[in-house]
Amino acid sequence: MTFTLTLSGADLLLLLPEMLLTVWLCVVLTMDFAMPRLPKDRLAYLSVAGLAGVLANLVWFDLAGIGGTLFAHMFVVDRLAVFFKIFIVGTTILVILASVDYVRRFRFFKGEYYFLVLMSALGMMFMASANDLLSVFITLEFSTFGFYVLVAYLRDDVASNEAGLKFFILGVFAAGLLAYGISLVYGETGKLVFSDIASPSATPGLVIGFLLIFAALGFKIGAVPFHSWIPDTYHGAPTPVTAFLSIAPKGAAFAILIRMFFVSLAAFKPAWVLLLVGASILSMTYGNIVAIAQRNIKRLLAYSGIAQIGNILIGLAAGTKMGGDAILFYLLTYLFANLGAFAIVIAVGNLIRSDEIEDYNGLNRRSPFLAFAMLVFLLSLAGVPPLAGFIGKLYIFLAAIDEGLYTLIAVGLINIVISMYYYLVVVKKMYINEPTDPSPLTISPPMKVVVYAGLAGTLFLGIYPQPAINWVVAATLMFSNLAGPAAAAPTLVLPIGG
Amino acid sequence: MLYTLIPLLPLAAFLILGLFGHWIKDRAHLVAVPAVLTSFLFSLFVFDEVAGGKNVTIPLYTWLTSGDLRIELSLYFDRLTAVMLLLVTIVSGLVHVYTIGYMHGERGYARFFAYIALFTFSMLMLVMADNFLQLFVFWEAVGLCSYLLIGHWYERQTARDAATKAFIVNRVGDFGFLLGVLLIWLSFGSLEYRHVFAQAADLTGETLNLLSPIGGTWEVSTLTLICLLLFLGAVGKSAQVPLHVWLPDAMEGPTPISALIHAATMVTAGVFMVARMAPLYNLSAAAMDVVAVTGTVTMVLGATIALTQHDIKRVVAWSTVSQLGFMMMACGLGAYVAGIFHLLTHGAFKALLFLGCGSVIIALHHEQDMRKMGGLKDKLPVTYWTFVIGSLALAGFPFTAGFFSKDEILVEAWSAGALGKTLATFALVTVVLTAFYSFRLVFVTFWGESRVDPQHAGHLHEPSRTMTVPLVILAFLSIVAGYAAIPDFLAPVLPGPRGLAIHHEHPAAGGMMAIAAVLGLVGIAAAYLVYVTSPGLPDRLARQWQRAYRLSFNKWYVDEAYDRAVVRPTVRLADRLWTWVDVAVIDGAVNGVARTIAWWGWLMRLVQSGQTQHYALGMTLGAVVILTVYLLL
Amino acid sequence: MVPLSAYVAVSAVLFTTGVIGVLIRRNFIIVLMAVEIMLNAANLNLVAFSHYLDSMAGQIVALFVIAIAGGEAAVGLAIIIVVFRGKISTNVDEMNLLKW
Repeated sequence: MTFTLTLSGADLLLLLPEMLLTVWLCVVLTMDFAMPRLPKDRLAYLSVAGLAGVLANLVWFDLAGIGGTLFAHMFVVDRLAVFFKIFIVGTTILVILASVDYVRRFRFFKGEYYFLVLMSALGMMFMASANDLLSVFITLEFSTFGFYVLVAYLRDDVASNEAGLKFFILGVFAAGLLAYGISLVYGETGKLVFSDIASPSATPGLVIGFLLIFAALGFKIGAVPFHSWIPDTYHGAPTPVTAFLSIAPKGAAFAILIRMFFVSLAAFKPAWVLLLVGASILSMTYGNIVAIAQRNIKRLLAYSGIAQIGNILIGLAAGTKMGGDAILFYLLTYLFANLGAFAIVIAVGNLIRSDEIEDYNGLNRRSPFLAFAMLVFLLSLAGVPPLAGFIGKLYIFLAAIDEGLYTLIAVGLINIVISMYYYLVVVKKMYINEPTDPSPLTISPPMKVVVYAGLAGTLFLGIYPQPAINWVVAATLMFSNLAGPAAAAPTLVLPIGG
Repeated sequence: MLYTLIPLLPLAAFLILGLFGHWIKDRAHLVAVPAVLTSFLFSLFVFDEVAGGKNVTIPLYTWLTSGDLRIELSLYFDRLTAVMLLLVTIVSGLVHVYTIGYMHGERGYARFFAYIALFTFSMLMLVMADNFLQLFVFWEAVGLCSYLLIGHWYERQTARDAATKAFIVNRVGDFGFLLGVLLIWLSFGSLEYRHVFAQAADLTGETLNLLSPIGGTWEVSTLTLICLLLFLGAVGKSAQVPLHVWLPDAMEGPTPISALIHAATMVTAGVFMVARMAPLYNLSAAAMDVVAVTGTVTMVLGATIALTQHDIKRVVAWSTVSQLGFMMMACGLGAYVAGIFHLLTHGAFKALLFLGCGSVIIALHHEQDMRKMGGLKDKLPVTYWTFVIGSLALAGFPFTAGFFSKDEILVEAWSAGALGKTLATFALVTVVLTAFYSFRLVFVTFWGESRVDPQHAGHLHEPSRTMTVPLVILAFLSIVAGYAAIPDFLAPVLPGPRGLAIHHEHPAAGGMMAIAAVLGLVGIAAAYLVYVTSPGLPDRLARQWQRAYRLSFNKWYVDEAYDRAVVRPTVRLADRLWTWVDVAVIDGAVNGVARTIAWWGWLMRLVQSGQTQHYALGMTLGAVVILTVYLLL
Repeated sequence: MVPLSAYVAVSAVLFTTGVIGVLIRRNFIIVLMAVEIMLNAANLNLVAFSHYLDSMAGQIVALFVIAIAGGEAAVGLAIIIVVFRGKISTNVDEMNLLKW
């Protein structure tokens, strides 16, 4: 490896979105310090304006098909990376809009909140472009640092402190696993870039190394058995942060997972299918069953999120281009439905200061709009047609059935029935139970924007998914050479160790 | 264009009411009713076109394409679609009109119309589907509308879980349905009816090893598996045993909904689906037998339970369960034409009965217990007479619509081999029971002494014109629908497993017609004896005609004996069936599964101990277990 | 010359020590130190492999790992100070308000 860094203008162009965001977050931070009397809401809108610029830039990349690699292939810009960056930036815009009311309640550091959100978004954008193990490690940690602080942001709230502490301990523990895994993979192959690692032989060192890396990424997405931080952290964190945490990092981590499994480990597919099938079944079943026992809406959505990740892992287990498409599409549907649901939780939490499901009693009487929107989001998460979630699940299942993963599909379908139960419990409370306090609830304009965006996305992706499908199909074109339909159901033949 | 407008008009009505309901408020019917009635007129036109033998497919738009997967949203019209369109638009239109009076002044009047318009749209799209995915999507959509309608306008505080229960039970059925659709995709590489039906015969003999994931061998015919999985969906939607538990509970919803969704249209979607998939079912004798037997069990169970219910709507609901089983039995025996014929006539007279119940309930200020009714026939003459016509049709009284369609099924069943003869015998027994309970309903509700709460007894009156006109139209249809040559019309598009033969000239036909008619009359007469003649009879005789007492005593004695020997055991059996089979076993199993899962949820959440280091330990153990599996295997 | 296997063995021992430290020590500061040990185990591996494979990449990764470890310590200490204000304790096992 040589270390001559020659960057041309064309190379810098690839970094333009990240550079824009970096400059912008400095602007936001400076404004916060320099103009102490500036209403902090303005900073939110300023951040959104900057992100909109970045988004426009990314859309241009996508339409113009701009791509390439930088820094000795550490940083890659391709359609997949651009897809995930748009996903992350879009999520960040909606999260910031959903935060405006919530941040007003903070006593300190209102401005820094937006700065930290932008910084985490920047880290995740780099994650989407990470193309070797070093950049995986750096970008993963970079984005997580912001989250550690954000989760513990409510200084006077013991729950928030505790959530931050737990998230931090488990997060750095996962980072330790990741670093050690990277060192082993490096030792076995001498390479770090994903496409170089693809070697035909599987030694124990490589197996341990990749499993440790998978553990760290599984931690990030919250797949069983690396899920345990999710409920407590989601519960204690400020709700907008929970919303952010439940979507954006998962998307970014899937960017890395897709590259890792589809590029580096393509040759070992029969071996890792078993791992992913197991993780998927456990995540779906555990998430859905434990969600039934929840009384706090944030915890309920946390467990439901674990189950949703189990669904997405089905697409990864399929290991084909169609599986990749399905993951991307599913993430989009998950973005709108989950963010929408959290937006309602934030709105209701701002108004009645409670996240208990009991307090959603009679929401329909108090605000028919909020109740209806929540109904749509929950039904989409449950996969009821014609909402987005249904197409997402269907796509995933179709990808899996081409690969003969029948068991996985059967378990997935049973889990849909189970999940219906707890989603409907919330719906029933909203629609049928009587409210204890029937005073009407109204929500602020930025919150309305988020809820409308969620509704529009959920309905549009369900009724007319074709544009989005074209987009995800184009984003994964580089995987079209992946193995077609496998010969049969997954067998237990593992080429490892022999 | 005309074709496209049939579903789009109700959709437009839904969108207008959904978006502008705040302003439209109690003028909502001015939007919804014309939309549905225009759809009906267009359906008539389509019926005329399709009757010429032309099949039309109108692509709307490509829903999704990705790789080999290509799903279009299209409208498919053939004769089966045409008759279903008429049924849906007629019943929906009349229910719309009826709702004007029924929901007058209620909260969410506009929203209610929005939802029934949405339901009508979904149901129309369901019958016009030309691929399995479209079928499934609207299959779910009608369930969703049903959920919203029951959940929003529950009339009683009891059984508030009815809507949730209905939805979850249906999801169990849909689990099978979606699995069936995925299996079709895997086997045929297409989800379009015409491709699938064209290639279906090639799939005979192919098997699938169900136990391969755990290393066993259990080869099952792929076609049979597909048919059974799809049928699981129909079991949920059409309330067949053991997933029938939701339908009677769904009666907590407003009565127009019961008439539209839970009698005439949505619940018959399962029967429609089986008939639509006739080319698949015909290739799998095993699946058809399962369909036929399930239908028969449902038919008998529903009829026996209907004998003992006191809630006026529940009697009709259980009767619906029974009749759906009857249709399903017909389809399972290959008599698709007869099944659909009965579906149509049943749609008319069952909607009539539900709307009649609605009139009674409204007149009595939401009283649904038959024991608190009686003597209503003079107070509510229109309701009474139309109700009698509906009951006659349900009982299969000669020359009503129900008589012809029932007879069609019985004849076809009788000629369908040994299984057919056995099941037809059960069906004949059910005919008696059906006649009995439907006239028990008539006699107890409308005849005899008034047992109405005196508070309401004074101002009992017929409901408004918007509610009685639909009753009269439906009553008319309950008679004339039988004379339309529907079986001949449908026969070309619904070939049975034994080809196109229609058994009109079957030697058993005349005999069966006579037997069914007589059995129906026997049932009605029995109800008359039990519910009109005997109650109060002893008292009256004893008080007024001392001399005739002894003479009549014999009759009373006969009644009593009859009561002891036949009625009471039947009633007791029905009661037992209901308490044991339904409440204890099936309901118990459903609730038991739910409770077990919830219990596991409570148990498993304890793993989340709150101790950070337990979590870290869990992660480490997880990694170690995975590692061990990989390094040792 | 020390064989590569010796480095790998020491690194494995260090890593295991770190994991066990995270799992059993109650004090947050010591847990943080245990994580640092895990990261240093990785560093040792990386540098040793780098030397034996004659590739610079490993050493560069090690430098970044050290930098990130520093960042982690800073954030971690900030969090524990906030927690300590509320709880007057730095024991990890006393933080169990959120559970189930």
